[in-house]
Amino acid sequence: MKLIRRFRRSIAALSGGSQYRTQVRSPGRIVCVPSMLIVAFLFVAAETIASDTILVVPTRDSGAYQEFIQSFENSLAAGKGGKNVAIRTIESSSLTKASYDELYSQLRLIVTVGADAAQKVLELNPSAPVLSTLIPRSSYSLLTSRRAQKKNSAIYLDQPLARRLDLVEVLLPQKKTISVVLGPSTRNLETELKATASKRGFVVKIETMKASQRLVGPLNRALEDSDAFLAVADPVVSNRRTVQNLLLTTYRQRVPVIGYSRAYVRAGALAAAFSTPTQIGKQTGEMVGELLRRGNWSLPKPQYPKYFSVEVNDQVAKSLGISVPRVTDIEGSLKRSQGVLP
Amino acid sequence: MIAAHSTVFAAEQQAALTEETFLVDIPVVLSATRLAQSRSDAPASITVIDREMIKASGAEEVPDLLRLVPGFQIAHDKQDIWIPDPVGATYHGLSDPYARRIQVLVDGRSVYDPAIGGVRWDQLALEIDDIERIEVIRGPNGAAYGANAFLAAINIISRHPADVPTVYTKLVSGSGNYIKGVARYSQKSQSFDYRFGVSARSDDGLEGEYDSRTTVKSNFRGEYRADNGDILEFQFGLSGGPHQAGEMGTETERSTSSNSNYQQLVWRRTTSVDESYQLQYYRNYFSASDSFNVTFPPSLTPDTNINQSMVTERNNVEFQHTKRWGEAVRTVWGLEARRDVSRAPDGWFYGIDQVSNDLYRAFINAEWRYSEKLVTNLGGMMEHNGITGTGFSPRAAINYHLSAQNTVRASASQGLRTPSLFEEFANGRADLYGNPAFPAYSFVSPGGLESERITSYELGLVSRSKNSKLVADVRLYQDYIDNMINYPENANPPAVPPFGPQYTYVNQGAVSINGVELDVNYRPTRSSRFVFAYAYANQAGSYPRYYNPDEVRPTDPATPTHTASLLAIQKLGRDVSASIGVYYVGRMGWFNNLSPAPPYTEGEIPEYTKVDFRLAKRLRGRNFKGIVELVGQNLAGTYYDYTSSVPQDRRVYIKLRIGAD
Repeated sequence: MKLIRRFRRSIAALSGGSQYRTQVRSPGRIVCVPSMLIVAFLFVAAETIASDTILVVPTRDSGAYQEFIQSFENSLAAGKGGKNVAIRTIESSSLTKASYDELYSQLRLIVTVGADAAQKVLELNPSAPVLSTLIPRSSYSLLTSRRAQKKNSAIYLDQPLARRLDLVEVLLPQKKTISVVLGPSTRNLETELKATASKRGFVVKIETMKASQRLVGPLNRALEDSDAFLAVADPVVSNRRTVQNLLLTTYRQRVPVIGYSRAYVRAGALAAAFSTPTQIGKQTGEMVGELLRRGNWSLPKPQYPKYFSVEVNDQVAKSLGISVPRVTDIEGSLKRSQGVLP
Repeated sequence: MIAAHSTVFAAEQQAALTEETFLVDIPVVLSATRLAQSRSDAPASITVIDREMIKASGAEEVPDLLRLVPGFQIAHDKQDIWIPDPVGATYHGLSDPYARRIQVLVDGRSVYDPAIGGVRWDQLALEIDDIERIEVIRGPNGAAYGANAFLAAINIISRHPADVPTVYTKLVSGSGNYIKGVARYSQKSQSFDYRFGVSARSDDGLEGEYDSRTTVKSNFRGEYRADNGDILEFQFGLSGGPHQAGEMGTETERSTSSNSNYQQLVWRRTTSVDESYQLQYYRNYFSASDSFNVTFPPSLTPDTNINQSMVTERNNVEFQHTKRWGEAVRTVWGLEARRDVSRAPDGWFYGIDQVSNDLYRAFINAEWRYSEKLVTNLGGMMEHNGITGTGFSPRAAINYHLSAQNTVRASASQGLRTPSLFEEFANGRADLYGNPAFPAYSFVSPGGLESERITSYELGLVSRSKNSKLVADVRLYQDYIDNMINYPENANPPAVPPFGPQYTYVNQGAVSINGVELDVNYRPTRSSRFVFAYAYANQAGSYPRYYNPDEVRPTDPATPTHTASLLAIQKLGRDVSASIGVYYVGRMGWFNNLSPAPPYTEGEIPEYTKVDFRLAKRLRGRNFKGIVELVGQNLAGTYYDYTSSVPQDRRVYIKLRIGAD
C-alpha cells in the first residue's frame, strides 16, 4: 500500500488526464472527488503488472516534464508493436531507496527525465538499465564520470556542436570567425569545439571564465573581430541576468548570436537549433519501442537529439541586415547534413 | 561590494547545468522597438563609419573621418579675427567654415551651435577613441531630425561603457609639436556601467599661423539598468582651453579661450516586446572669451576694442514613443521642446542683452512593411519656433527588395533650415576709439528672416553580393534649395560714421543640385578591406552678389563636381596592419572666400588629393595589450582645403595605446 500511495501521488501530480491513465494497462479504479481530494483518492492499482514495466522518473511535475512524458507515451504506443508495457511514473523527489526496492524486481528500464532525476536514480545504482533524458550532456558526463555506465545511456538535450556550427554555416555563409565564451560546466568542450570548427573551415575564438568572473571582459575579448557569437548553455556564462548584457553587447557590436533555446532567440539571438521536450520524448519512445520489439534491454550509446527545431528572430536578422533562408529550409539542410533525412 | 559577492555566490550556486537552462523563459532583450532599421529598409542613404575604419584612418580629429563619406568636404579655417573654430565640415559645399546645413548629433544630443550655426568640432567633449560608429544620412532628414538636418545628418554613436577596456591610455606625438594624452577608465557590473575619460592636447597649429592651442577634455557616460528593465543613461562632459588667434605679426595676435560643457539624461522604458518610451533632457553650454584692442587709422586713442566673447546655451527635452503594431507597422512619434539662448552684448549682438529662440516639435515616423518585398517609410515633423513660426518637414520613401541582395529605394522629402540666432539677430558692432559716435558694423541682420527650404528626390540602390563581401549603395538625387540665407557684402560702405554694415543677412538665393553618389565596402579576404566613396554633383544656382545693388552671382564654384575617397586596410600577419587613405576633392570655393567680382571664381581652392598612411603593430605583454602606430598625413604633398593661404603640410604622428581593444 505504501507503494501504491506513492504512485497515486505522482500520478495525481502529473494530472495528465485521461490520456495518461489509459496508458496504464493494468486494471485500475478512478474515483472522482472534489479536486482538493484528488491526491488522496486517485487510485491506480500497481499490484498486477502485465508484462514489462518501465519506470519513468521526472525531476518535477511541471509542464516540460509532462510534455515529455506525454510525447514519450504517444511515441511508444505508436511504435511498440503490440507488446504490452506498463509505465510507472514517480517524481524524483518521491523516489527513495525503499520505494525503488519495491519495484526493483519488476523493472526492465528506468527512464529519468531531467538532470536531478538522473542524479537521484543513478545514485541508487539500480540493476535495471537507466536511460537519462532531457539532460544536458555535461551533467550526464559529470554523473557518470565516477563509474562505468555500460548498461546505462542517455538522450541529451543539447544539440551536437556539429549541428550548431552547421546552423552558423547556413545562416552566415562566408562568416568565418566564431567566438565562444566557455564557463566551468562547458570548459571541457574546447577541444571538441576546435576540432568541429576547423572541419568546417571556421576559426573559433574561445575565452573562458570562472564563476567568480564577470562576463564583460571575456565577452569583449571574444567578440573582437568576430563574425558570430555561439552561446553555450553554461549557467555562469548565460543566465537570466547575464543574457541581457550579452545580447545588448553583441547587438551593439553587430555580432549575431547563435543561441541554444527558443527563449534565447525570442530574447534577441539571431537563431537557435533546439529540441523540445516533445521531440526528446518522441525519440525516447522510439528507442524504447525498438528495445521492446527486440526484447533486448541493452541500451544503445548516449545520443544527441534526433528531432530538433530551428527558430530565427526575423526582426534581429532584418536589423543586422542578414538575409536568412526559410526556417524549413534551414531545418532541412541541417537534417541532411546530419543524415537524419535520407 | 555586497552586490558583487551575492552575484558570485549565486553564480556558484547554479554552476551545475540542468535542463532548466534550455527550457527557462528569458525576458526579451532586443525588442522590436529597440532594433535599428536595416540599411535596406531605411528611407535614406546611410554611410557608416565603423571602428575599424576609424582606427585605420589614423585620424585624431572627428571631422577628418567625414572625408570618407561621399560628397563631404572639410575646411581648416585660417585663424584671423573671428572666434577661432578651426574646422568646418560640409556636404555638397555651399558653405563657409560654419557649415550650417548639416545636423550633428552625439548619442541623440544635437551639437549644432545655435548661435552661429554649424558645429564647433574642436569643442566636442569626445575623443575619437570614444566613438563606436558614425552614421551619416545623406540628403535632407527633417522628418526625423528636424530643421537643420538639411543637406545631411550625422549621428555619432559613442562607445558603450560595457564595450571598452577597463583601463585605456593613449599618447600621441607628432609634427607641429602635437602632443596628446588620453586616459579612460571604465567599470562594469550587472546593473551599472560607466566610463570616465580625460584628455589633453596641445599643438602649434598650422604653419605660419598664430594658432597654437591647448584643449582639455573630460567626459563621463554611465548606464544604470533597473530590475524592471528601465535604463537610465547619463552623460556629461567638459571641453576647452586657451588658444591663440589673430593675424600673425599684427596687433590682432591674442590669447583667447573657449569652454564647453554638456549634461544629458536619458530614461528608457520598455513596457512590452512591442512598445517603449524614452525621455531625454540635455543641456549644452559654450562660452568664448575673446576681447582685444586694435588701432584704426588715424591712430586715435583709446584703441578700438573688439569684443567677441559669447555665451550660448541650449536646453532640450524630448519624449519619444516607439510601438510595433503587429508584424507590419512600426511607429515612432515624439514631442520636443527647446530653448536656445545666446549672450554677446558687446560684439555679436551689440546692445542686446540676450537673444533667444524657443522651439516646439511634434514628429512621427512610420515604417510599414506592406509585404516581404515592399517597405514604406512615412514621416513628418511639425515645428514651431520664435523666429520663423511654423514649418513642416515631410518624407515618404518606398523600398522594394528586388531580391535578398538588392533593394531599390525611391524617396521624396522636404526640409527646413531655420536661421541661427546670429543670422536673425546679428548686430556685429565695434565702437571705433571706444566712442559710440563712431560705430563700425560688420554683420547685421534686419531680422524677420524665413527658413531655407529644400526639396529632395532620390533614387537609390542598396546591393549586397551573395557572400556579403561587397556592399554598395548608389544614389541618384535631385535637390532644390530656395530662400537661402546669405550675407552679401555692402558694395558701397559709407565713408562716414556709422561705418558699415559690411554684410547683411537676407533670404535670397536658390540652388539646384543633382548628382550621383556611390558608397562601396568590399572585403575580398578576411585580412583586407576597401572602402570607396565617390560623389558627382552638378550644382547650379545664384545668390546675391552685393547687398545693394541687387545683383546675383553663380553658386556653382561653391560645390566640387567630383569628390572621392578610398580607404584600404590590409592586415599583415597576426599583429601588424597597414592602411592607406586617399581623399580627392575637386576645385571649389568656400562662400566667404569667393570674390563677388566676375568671374566669381577668385578665392577658389584647386583640386587636391590628400594621402594618409598608417602602420600599426599590436603589442602583447603578459599583463597588457597595446598598439603602437605610425601615421603619416598629407603624404602626397601640401594641399589647401580652405584658402590658398593656409597650407596643409605633411605630418607624421607616433601613437602608443595601452589597454587597446
